[in-house]
Amino acid sequence: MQDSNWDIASKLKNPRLKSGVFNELVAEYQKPLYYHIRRMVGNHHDADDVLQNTFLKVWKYADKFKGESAIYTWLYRIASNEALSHLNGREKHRSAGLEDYQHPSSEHREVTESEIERKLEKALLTLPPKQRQVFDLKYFSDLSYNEIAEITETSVGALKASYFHAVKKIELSLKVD
Amino acid sequence: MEPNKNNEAEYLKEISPSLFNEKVKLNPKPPAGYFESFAEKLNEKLPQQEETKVRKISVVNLRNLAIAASIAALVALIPFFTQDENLNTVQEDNTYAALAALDLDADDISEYVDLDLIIDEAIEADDFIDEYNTEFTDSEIVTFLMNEGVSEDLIINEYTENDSL
Repeated sequence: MQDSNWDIASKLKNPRLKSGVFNELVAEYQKPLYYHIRRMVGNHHDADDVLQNTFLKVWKYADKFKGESAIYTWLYRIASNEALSHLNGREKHRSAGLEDYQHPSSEHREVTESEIERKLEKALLTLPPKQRQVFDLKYFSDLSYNEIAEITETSVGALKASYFHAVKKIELSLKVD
Repeated sequence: MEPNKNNEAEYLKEISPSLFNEKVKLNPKPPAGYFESFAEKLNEKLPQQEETKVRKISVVNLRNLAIAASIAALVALIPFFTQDENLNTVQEDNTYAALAALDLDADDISEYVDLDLIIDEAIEADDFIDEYNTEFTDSEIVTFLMNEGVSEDLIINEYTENDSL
């Protein structure tokens, strides 16, 4: 996608161009957003629901994107918030996704490439949702602290502290498992 | 900025060698064909939402238009219910009242009212005359009034008061 953020914003507001640019966004960002959401919620079924809701919101609120920030930070913000809402709703009924990881359905069972990846995925789910979000955006999505601050609407200092705590916890989980 | 970046990287390696000696990629794979069919599955949900939104807006606009048209029609009809005739009646009543104060009987008053209207017409004729730069002499005006049935005495009295003769 070569358009500037301003171009994307104006196209999203144009009824004739909205569909085309929306499909381009889906094609370009469905994978990175899926992986981010998937790491947040812990299983494919929930990740699929959250990803669809994310893009439905992108469509619904397309005219709200003003082009002042990068399109991907806007998309990540929607995806992250949808994942957090999903986790908060799920935690009201049961624990944070560990059950889904430990007992994946045979239909959606995924095979990780290495033991460390399996352990890491399990360790991620031990983090509180917001800390999990920060760790994922920094470590896996490789965003800068400023970009993450824009997505999460948190200060850079708070993000660094949260990230370092998450790293320590995961390291401890990896050693114990 | 570079020293801080290096310090952070070193610090992270120190606290978590598993994660930072060699970065771990974690992209759990979805079921086969998921990404290929995702856009289509998503688009099936989009048109319904969009149509609903458009339908809702058109209903609101039509309703507002109907209300605005009704108000405009009522406003347009107001002049038909105003009292031009009543105004004339009021004017006539005022004339009657004024003339009655002069102790004139009903027949005389009627004559004056008629004269009033005739004079109004004459005044309008004067305006007409002024507009077209044509002048009528006083005698022509008197002749006109007499032809309209106005009594000579009244004409003389009226014109004497106005110094028209």
